[in-house]
Amino acid sequence: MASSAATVRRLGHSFEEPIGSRLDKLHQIRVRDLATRFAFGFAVSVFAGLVTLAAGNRVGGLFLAFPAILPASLTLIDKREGRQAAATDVSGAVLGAVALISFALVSWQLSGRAPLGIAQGAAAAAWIATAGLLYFATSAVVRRRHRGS
Amino acid sequence: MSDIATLAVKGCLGGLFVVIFAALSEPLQPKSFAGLFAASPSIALAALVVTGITKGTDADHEQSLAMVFGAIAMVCYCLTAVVAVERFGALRGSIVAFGSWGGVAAAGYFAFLAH
Repeated sequence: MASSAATVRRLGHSFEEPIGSRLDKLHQIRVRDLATRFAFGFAVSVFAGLVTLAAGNRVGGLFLAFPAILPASLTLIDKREGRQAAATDVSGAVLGAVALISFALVSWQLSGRAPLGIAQGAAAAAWIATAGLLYFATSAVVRRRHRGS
Repeated sequence: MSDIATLAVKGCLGGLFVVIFAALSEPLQPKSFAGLFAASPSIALAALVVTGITKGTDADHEQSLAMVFGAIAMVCYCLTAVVAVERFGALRGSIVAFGSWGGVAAAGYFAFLAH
C-alpha cells in the first residue's frame, strides 16, 4: 500500500516537471535500438495485416491499436534508465492511448467521406491535439493538487 | 498489388513510423511527456494509408471503427502496465498487461463488432 502511494507520488512529480528537450540525447540513440524498434514495427504491421487477411477488417482493425511496441520501448528504457523510468514512461502512454481513441474516431468518421490524405492527416492531428491537451490538463491538476496540500 | 507485397510495404512503413516517433520522443523531457509517443498511431497510420491506397477507404472506415475498441483496450493495457512494470520489471510487466488488452478487445469485438 505504501509503495503504491509512493508510485503515485513519483508519477505525479513527473507530470510537474517542465517540458523540455535535450537534443544531445539524439546523438546517444544507438542504431541497434532503432533497428529493434523498426523490427517490432515491421512485425506488428505484418501481423495486423495477416489478421486482417485471415479474419477480416473488424478483427484486423482491433490490432491497429495492439500494444506490441511498448514492451520493446520499455525494455530498452529499463535497461538504460531503470524500472521506475520505464513505469513513468507508461504513465505518459496512458494519455497517448486515450488520444489513440480520438485518432480512430476521426479516421472512422472521415474514411470514405474525405480523400485518404485528409482523413489520415486529420486523424493524426487529432491524436497530437488530444495527447497534448490531456498532458497539460493532467499536469495542471497535479500542480494544483500539490499547491493545495 | 499482391497480398505479400502489400504486407511488405505495410511492414516497412510501420517500422519507419515507429522509428520516427521513437526518435521524436527520445530527447523530450520529462519521461511522462516522452511516454505519450509510446502510444503513437504509427502502426495504424501505416496500415490505414496502405489499405486506403490498395483496397479503398471503405476498408479504412471499417478498420477504424474496430480500432476504437482496440484503443480502449490499449488504455486498459497501459493502466495495467503502470502497476505491472513497477512490480515485475519492464519485459515481464508489459507481457502480463497483454491479458487486459486481450480481454477488453475481445469484449468490444463480441459486444459491438461481431454482428
